[in-house]
Amino acid sequence: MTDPSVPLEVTAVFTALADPRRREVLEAVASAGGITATAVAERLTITRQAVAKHLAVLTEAGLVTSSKRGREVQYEVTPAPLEQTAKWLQRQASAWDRQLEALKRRAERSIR
Amino acid sequence: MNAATTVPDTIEREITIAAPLEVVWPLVSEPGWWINEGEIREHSIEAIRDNVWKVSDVKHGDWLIEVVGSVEQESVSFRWLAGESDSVQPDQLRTLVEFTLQPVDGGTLVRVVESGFAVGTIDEKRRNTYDANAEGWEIELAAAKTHLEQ
Repeated sequence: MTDPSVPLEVTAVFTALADPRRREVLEAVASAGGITATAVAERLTITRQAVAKHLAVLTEAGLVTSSKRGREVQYEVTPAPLEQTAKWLQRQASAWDRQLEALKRRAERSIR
Repeated sequence: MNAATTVPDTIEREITIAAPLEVVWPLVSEPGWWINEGEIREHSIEAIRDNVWKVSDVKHGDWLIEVVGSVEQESVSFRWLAGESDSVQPDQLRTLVEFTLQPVDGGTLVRVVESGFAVGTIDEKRRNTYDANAEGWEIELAAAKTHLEQ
């Protein structure tokens, strides 16, 4: 059978990514490999305050980490939570594949 | 190495079954038919209230399943509710599972879409169950590459 409920870590990732702007911020951070909130704001042409809020949510979900480089705070993507989420999705998709196969066997048996 | 991590907001799978709609529909529209260990088996199914059923499986126990929407021989959607067999934490999310049937050459195409992995999205989805405009998303990051370069 399929997993009846979503693991909390997976929910945290999906909830953080449900906002399209926030996904853009994550993608900007990912493509830069170390970037400041100001640089993200310039790239996406949104306010630094909005970027800071999105980065806080992404940090909370474990998707980005920050570190101080001199006077600047640099953000980087942490791949682990996304990878875990992708793996859970794959397992759940495989469980559905097995159930659809079972449905096929059951339906095709009944018309023979 | 440049392995990408892809996270879509839904799971979508499909299969073509060499049987007509009228054979597939009763199987697909039965609440909890997917609760098993690889072969579809009989469940005792009891009505609890409007659109909510208690499905009892010999091995996996009792589950509450809501029929969210149903159009005869076309589509049906279900949602798990907190049931007696649940050992999960109360704030864990339950997803929406939609099956759609389509007659094709030589049988029936069955598609399953599971959604509602984020807080707040399930009610939105339920409102739009048959709304083709409900937009999904997919995020793809070259995670392994980033990781290895560190």
